[in-house]
Amino acid sequence: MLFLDLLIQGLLQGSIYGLIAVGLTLVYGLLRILHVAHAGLFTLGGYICVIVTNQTSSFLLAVLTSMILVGLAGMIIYRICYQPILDQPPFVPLIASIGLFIAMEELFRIFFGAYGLSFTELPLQEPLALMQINLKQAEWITIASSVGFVAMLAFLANRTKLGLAWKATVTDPEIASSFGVNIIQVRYLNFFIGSSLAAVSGCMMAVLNNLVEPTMGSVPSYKMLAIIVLGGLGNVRGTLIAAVLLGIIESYGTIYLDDLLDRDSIAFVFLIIALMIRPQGLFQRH
Amino acid sequence: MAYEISLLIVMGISITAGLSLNLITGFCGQISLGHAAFMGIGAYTSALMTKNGFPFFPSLAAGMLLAGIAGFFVGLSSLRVRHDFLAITTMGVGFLFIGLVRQQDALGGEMGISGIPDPGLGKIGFLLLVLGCAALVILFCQFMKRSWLGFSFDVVADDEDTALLMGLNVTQFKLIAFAIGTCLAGLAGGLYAHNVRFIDPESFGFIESITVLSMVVIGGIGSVWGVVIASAVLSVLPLWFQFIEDYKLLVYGLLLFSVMRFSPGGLSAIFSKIFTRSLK
Amino acid sequence: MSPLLFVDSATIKFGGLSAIQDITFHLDSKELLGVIGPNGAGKTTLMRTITGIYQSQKGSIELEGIQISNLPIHKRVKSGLSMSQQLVRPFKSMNFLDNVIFAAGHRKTQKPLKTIFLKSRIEEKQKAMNLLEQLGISDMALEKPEKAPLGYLKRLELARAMALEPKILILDEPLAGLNQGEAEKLADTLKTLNKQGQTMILIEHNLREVMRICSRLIVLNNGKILAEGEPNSVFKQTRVQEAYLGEKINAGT
Ligand SMILES: Nc1ncnc2c1ncn2[C@@H]1O[C@H](COP(=O)(O)OP(=O)(O)OP(=O)(O)O)[C@@H](O)[C@H]1O
Ligand SMILES: [Mg+2]
Repeated sequence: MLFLDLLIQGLLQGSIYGLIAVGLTLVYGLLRILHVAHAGLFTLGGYICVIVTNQTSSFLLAVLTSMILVGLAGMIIYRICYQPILDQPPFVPLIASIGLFIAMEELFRIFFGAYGLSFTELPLQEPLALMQINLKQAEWITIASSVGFVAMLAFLANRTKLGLAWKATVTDPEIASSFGVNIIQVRYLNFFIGSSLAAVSGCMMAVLNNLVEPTMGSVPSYKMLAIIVLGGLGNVRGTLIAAVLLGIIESYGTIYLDDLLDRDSIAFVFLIIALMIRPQGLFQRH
Repeated sequence: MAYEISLLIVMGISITAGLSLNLITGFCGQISLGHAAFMGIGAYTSALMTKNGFPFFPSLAAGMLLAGIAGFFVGLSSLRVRHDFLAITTMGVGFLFIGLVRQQDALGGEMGISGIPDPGLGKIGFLLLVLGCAALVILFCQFMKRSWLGFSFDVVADDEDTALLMGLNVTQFKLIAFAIGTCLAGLAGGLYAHNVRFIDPESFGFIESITVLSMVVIGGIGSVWGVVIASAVLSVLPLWFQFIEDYKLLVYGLLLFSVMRFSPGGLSAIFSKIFTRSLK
Repeated sequence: MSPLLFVDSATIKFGGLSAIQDITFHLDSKELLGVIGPNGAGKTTLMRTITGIYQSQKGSIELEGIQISNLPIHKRVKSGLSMSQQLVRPFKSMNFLDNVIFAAGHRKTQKPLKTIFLKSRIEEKQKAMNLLEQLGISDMALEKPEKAPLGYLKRLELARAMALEPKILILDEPLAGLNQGEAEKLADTLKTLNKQGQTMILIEHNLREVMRICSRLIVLNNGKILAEGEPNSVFKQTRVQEAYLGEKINAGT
């Protein structure tokens, strides 16, 4: 039973990783920027969720508000932080992004305190047994939302005009724009969608832990980088597989590797080994 | 007086650390987000040795050597991956380092190592040692920049592929940069350990790596004096203004962001712009 | 006597596409060999294979009778090959002069650990300045490549390649971006260099200059050698005319 429990914990963790990392890999695919501040948006999403839930006692409303506000915040970050430095060498936006992320974490601490916030009444705690697996509602919803949102994303990308425009822009911005695609709009949309997915995972994280704290993004911030690299930068499917795999490996690793390594560095053992064997990432098509 | 001395010591160590990263990232163009790990190797090695009765200077040297060897091996990764990928790999190395140290009781685990012995040079003696090291590193960097080694680093940083077509053994140059840079980081780490006389994994974590990187970036990637000034100022700012200590990270974060956003060449680019303008 | 360069069955595939296939040819000392062919014929790919940017999937490459097919790029450069690329790649952070000075210092940079003790650039600077003057771009010596016109950048590529003092100088479309007057002048410079004993391979679309200065031609088409020989006789062959006419007709539609 322990085996199964660990697997499910891993899946759960992997779903959260996946939701954050997808947004990041979307940004990388489009702009070749390692958008570290994405983890700050994840934290922001969690905070908005807790605050709105506590004010209105509607979790659903809180998640929607969080998605919209964080999506907008993502667009603002693109506009003021990245757009002016797109033509610089890659480390410039990367370091700018790290700076922004650190500043965001500090702002959360200064505004909401170092110890974070909790729900006054924690939603979605009833147990729910499906297929003989007993989890809390919140845990089911986490897994379901990651599957759901990613499926929706795949649908958007493959079946809609918008998705085609997006794909064309990723492949070759110049050709896309000569076919009348508005590249700037595609970028804004990209940031909006990616950031709102980060918001969703922030909300889920808040419910699962009944806590949002200023540093809740720091572990995801670097782990998601490892994930998108393993997934083959810019590759959504690879990123998801990598996220879930990492969740599961960590879940077992905590039990079996604990004497040697702490949980949060397991990702990097895999990252480094994988990169040395396949410098282009695990799932990159050539 | 004691207060001024400790300020100067902190400055000197930061300058050494900043320049050591500048050598790798600034001169040779290989970005590293895990530099603090090498300071950590120097710190842990020398601290464990002096704690076990070895004299100070050989311990310091052993720390440098070990850090340099580790740097050499991490440098091998730069032969496989570039740019963004290298940034993430080195970041991974940083996390791996603290992840490993945390779980090893022999290295003090989460609690770190306390009671590191005094090097026995006296306050002034230690200050002179630190400043001497910083001065030597500055001179070394200046010297290197003007040599054909520095010239070759410039070329590798500019365009590796074309560097190969100029007959340059790019691999060896990158490894040299990593080995020297991390060896000097080991020096900074050893000095740090014997100044504070307490170390733990967090002292060499991601934030520390970013702090060193911010010194390089804010000073101006590749510029020696820019990095010296930025390291000196950034390291003591929080000590001078108590209120900054609370907002230290906010200030670092915003500085990193603003410099990259508005002047990716750092302070040195701003200065040279003002300078050339005033000449016209 | 073995030829200076011998390329045997060079073959490169990109995915499913054979960029070059079983190309075999030789180059004698002091020759000026022209390599021509329509766009996409595989000329650049062939040169990149010789310098080691791509690894041939078959056969071998010998320089002065010594196998170089397994050497990395920088060792091939050291053993006497240098190339000026079709797509210019100047070091953007340095001015024209420093770009060439660095190449001129190729002997100094051979032993990386020793480079820290080497400081003087006087000799290299002199050499570099001479090259810039010879190629008519010395007026840009202290400018960064950023704003320079293509004709200047092309000649900068050439100057760097020459500064490496190669046994074989490989030039990939050095005349592109120059007007006819400049092209003629540069072609004359190349011819003179060749007369002074420099072995060269010249890829060019400017057929007029190619016919004027090359002693022997290789025509590539679809990754294969279509014809080879003395320039005038090569152009009399109908399949060469077809390849070029075909291209012109395609270009016209
Ligand atoms: N790196 C690459 N990846 C995939 N295909 C390539 C690559 N380089 C060249 N090709 C293809 O190989 C073929 C030969 O290209 P190559 O550049 O060698 O031609 P070329 O004769 O130099 O043409 P041009 O006169 O236009 O310079 C072309 O079809 C080209 O599209
Ligand atoms: Mg070509």
